[in-house]
Amino acid sequence: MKPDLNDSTINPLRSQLPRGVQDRFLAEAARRRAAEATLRDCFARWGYQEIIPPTFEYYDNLSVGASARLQQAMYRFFDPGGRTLALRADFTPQVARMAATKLFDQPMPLRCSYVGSLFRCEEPQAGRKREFTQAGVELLGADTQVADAEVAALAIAAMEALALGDFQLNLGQMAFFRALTEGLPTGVLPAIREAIDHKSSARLDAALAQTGLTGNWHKLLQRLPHLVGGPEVLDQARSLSAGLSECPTAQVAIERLAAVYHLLQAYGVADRVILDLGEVRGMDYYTGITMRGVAPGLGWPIVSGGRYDDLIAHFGRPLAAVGFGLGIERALLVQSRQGAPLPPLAAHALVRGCDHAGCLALVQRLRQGGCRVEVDPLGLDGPALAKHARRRGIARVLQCAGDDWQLIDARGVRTLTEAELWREARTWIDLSKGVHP
Amino acid sequence: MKSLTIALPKGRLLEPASALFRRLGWRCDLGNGSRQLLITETISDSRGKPDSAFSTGTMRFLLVKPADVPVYVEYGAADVGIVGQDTLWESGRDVYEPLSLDFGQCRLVLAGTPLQQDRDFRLATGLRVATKYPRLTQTYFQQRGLSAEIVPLSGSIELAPLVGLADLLVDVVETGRTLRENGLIELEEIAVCQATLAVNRVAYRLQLGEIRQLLSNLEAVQQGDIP
Repeated sequence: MKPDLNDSTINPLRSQLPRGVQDRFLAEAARRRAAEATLRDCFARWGYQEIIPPTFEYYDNLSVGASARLQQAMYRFFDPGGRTLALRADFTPQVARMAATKLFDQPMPLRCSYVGSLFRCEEPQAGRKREFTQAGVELLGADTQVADAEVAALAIAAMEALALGDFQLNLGQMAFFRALTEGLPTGVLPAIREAIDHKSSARLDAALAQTGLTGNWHKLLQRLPHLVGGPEVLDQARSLSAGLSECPTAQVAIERLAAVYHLLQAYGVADRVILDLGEVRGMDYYTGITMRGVAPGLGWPIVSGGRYDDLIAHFGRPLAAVGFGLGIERALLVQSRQGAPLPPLAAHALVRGCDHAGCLALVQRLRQGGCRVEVDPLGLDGPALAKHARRRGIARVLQCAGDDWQLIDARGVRTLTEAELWREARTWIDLSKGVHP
Repeated sequence: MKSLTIALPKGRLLEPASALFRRLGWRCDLGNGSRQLLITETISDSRGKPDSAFSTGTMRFLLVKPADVPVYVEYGAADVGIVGQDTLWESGRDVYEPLSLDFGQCRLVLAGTPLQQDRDFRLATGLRVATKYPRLTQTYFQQRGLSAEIVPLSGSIELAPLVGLADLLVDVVETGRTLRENGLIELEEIAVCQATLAVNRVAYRLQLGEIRQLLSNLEAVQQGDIP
């Protein structure tokens, strides 16, 4: 039978959302807020302070440093004066604008963090809708390996805090690729970059043949997509670039990456790091180390970031910067695939509605003490109240019984004095945190 | 213990693709009349072959439609896939292509009736092109500044110019026989394609050891180092 697509009882416009946006409710909303809180807390412990940029601003500012593809994906509209506005598609240009125009005379380095929505009119894929949430940090005013390593270690700490399992941080060095390709004809550069980005040796050979390069330089570029792995990658790159006297910046770039790796060993997180000199993808503004966090079960990176020392200069004042953004919905997808427990949502107790003065006073004190308490507003009683509590996932029903309190829970029906009830209530809070008294 | 999930395409590439894995020591018995789409194969003893030949461990072979191989690989449902470059490029899916495989050679061509041979398409208006490859066709025409209406079809493309559904067609040819038998001629070559190994970007990191091993073994097989 043909499905009835014209069911007049459903108003399609009322239930529809535009492609790429989503309502979030109940456990999913709670889980997302919990992840945001976890990340805010994590960033704060490393000394990062939150900034709250506007959701939309002038397109000309938001598009600084953005790839053509990202520019195309931006939602644009006009203000009454006819100037083009856009919803933000990336936090980094906003941070750069703030840093160059407002925060530049603050003592450096400056550590900023952010959490918020980004908007990209792209084909929705796993964990990334057209509106999605990103949390991230930027460390401004420090062009040092210590700063690089701090941000990489923080990216690992953030993924650790979200309990993403066997995740890895992929560390690249854009400066190495830039050093190797400096001076090559610009016409062939996109083909080389694209071939390296797809780790396609066949296409890379074809592109390199057009450059006329020979010898060590040619060999190094040819090997670039495959320089992936542990610290041995650094030695391979060192020996390959040793013969490149015409390209000293390549050696500098490798030694910088080596120093960052060494610091990550000192942080105790080097086992989470994969070095990948063939990582040439990402925002066009990266100039130094780049990072991508990946976790099992998700085909796309969760964390993406790097050093971008030239971007802020576009806003008038040059300032070194390194940072990363973490896609919260992607992280949540990994969490739920790994069966992470849902954050507790239900109240600890449902209290029977009652106009007895002492009853609401007790409810208030329980709430002040940290319990989540609901008062039934429907006038339910007895079995109806108990059934209602069960359906809502609330483990306990409480009602006043003269000066004492009647508590109904898995252990049955008990009459408790107020002091006894307080002792009980303390265990509810511990229980919901997963701590057994 | 090595473990990888590999998406194999049904159709003309299935036999050479599974033959490749058989040469690495796997049974890889797919498409033998069975309707099973997921085959898990475990080899615990190395059957006299060195372990480095990727002949122990667990492999999960998925049997999917060719056009779906890039989707399985991009989403990470398969770590690795074998797919024709024509299909992969048409899909626009973002995966690694570290190794070209020496089978499935074909060419993507623009073809039409002999009447179209000397026509200047820049001056043509209302040009219609029938194809199974709308994305690649669109790109090809755009890059040349030509405007054409793409008529997406899923098979028997050669029929379209004969019955006036389209002026031209874009399709893959292996020998060119289908074109000839339908009185069509090749006008331009758009791309040369072959089968390729597609690898998920995240799996390449998280299972670097396994994937490297697979790559080097496949390379050895292709070069005849493994009989």
